[in-house]
Amino acid sequence: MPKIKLAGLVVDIRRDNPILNNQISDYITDDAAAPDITVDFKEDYIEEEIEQQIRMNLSFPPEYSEYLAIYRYVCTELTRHSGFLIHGSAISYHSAAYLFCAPSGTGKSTHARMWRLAFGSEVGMINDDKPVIRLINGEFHACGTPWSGKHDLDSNICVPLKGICLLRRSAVNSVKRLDATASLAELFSHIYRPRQSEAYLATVDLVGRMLETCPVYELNCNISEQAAICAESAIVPHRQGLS
Amino acid sequence: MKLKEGFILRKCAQADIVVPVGENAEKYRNVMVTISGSGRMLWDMLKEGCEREDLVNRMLEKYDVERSVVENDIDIFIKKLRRAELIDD
Repeated sequence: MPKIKLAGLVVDIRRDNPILNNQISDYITDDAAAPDITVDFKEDYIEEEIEQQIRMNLSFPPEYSEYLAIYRYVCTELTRHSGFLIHGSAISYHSAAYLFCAPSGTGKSTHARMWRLAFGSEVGMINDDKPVIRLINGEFHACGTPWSGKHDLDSNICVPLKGICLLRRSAVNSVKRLDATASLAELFSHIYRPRQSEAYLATVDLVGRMLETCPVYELNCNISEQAAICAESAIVPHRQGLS
Repeated sequence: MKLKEGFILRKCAQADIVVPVGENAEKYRNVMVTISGSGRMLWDMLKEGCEREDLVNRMLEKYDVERSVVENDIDIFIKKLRRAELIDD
């Protein structure tokens, strides 16, 4: 597989996975630098993926298990480079990134789509499902990855992260700033927690640093452009207090 | 009551996160418990092993609060740790 670059890191994936191959075209790099992450593992690493599926009563084709194993490997290695992976939909808007997190099926992709409807080309998709958050030059960024969920919406960009929204379905739209400490358990439920303790601890440290500067909001929203307009006025720094 | 071995607290924001380490890293990777405020003091006591009454008394020494309020808080705390299977009896 050709070398790829994501979140500013050169990744050399020494597995030939057909699913990933179809998703990496925007990430292929000719950067001659030594890879930051080299993905190379034996079959037993994939076995762990399959055992996990059995525990969860799931069964995926072998190439999908390999695809997930590569993903798990990259996520774990990321922690050595001040990065971690979070489950959510990340958009870019006026050079800032905003992340919408919620349990599967709540409607984070739908909410991101409401932003695109409300604000058109001012909104870009960084990643609709699994963006990487990485500390680059002292600032946390949301970065695109080829693992972007069922809608395949992603771009290979890194944008400074300016807010995280925990989404709730609601008939009425409202936004509330949350105390970072009180929202930790919920936030961590969306964050990839590596199986290696060292990587897990590195993730905890990074999240702690991120919360020093990145606000967390509770976003109660329905499915309408109005939901995006309501959120925008509350979370976009230059809009706060204007409406 | 005693905490199981193989868990450490790691500071994050103004709280501590319970991180499973060593052999527990895989088995308990879905455990997500955060501890804040006096929780760390109680955690340390439970690590050494103690009874509910010891926790209640320690809190009463430290804070000027009604016993019933403290007992209720301690029960909630213990329940949270039990639910996450962090306590051995």
